Amino acid sequence: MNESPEKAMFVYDSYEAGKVYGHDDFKVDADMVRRWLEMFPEDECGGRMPAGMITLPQQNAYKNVITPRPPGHIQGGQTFELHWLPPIGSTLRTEVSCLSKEIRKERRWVKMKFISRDLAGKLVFTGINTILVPM
Amino acid sequence: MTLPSTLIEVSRTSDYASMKRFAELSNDYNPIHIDREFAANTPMKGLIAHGPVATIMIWQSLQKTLGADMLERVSLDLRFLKPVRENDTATAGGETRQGEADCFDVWVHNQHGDVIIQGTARLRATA
Repeated sequence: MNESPEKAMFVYDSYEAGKVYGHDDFKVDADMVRRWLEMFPEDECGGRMPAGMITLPQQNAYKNVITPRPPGHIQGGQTFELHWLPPIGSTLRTEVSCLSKEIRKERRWVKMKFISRDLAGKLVFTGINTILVPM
Repeated sequence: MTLPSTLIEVSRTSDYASMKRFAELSNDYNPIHIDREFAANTPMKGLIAHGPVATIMIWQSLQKTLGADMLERVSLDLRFLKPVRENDTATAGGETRQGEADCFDVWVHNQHGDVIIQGTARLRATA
């Protein structure tokens, strides 16, 4: 029986500045939006994806593309350029790349860049997460 | 359009139930948000809310003040200075930056007045 090799744990040394790691698809489906609005009713956006929900495709893309990771990642900063709130039913394709990495005061920081478009290529948002990677 | 000088404030308490609910919604089960024993042994020394929840509150404050359509022109730049801890009540808001009519200084505070998030929300010009 052939066993597939285990993927190595993604640690600080694994990040390469400038490297594109892949993409992740996120469906803005009606049930997801309904559950979102149950928790955040003030986010109602008239049939479009609630603005705050753009944190999910970004977070999911990082989690699903940069894997497996040790637990305990902490966010230090975040930028977003929101360009378009897509209609419910859209699928967002979010590309994940590493912008930079550095050790400051013995803490390991990486900056990850995200570019998210719908499947027709229309830009939804770009963003950068500054993440403290566990030792 | 003349922008208001302040953003409408939004408050939210991060109790354990809401943190667990957001973990389910976002499929983010990082133990620092939901496992007390694990979180106690991290530099955070306890459970912290998911970072996106405070960011979401800033989007809500912007939407309440400016309306949803205007959000498609917003660029956010945020620094996370302190975590939102279990049972903290956080409030998001902002003020127009002096001399820059298209920029808000935005923030999230906790119930002690500690700054959780500090940053800017800029409105890009329409194409």
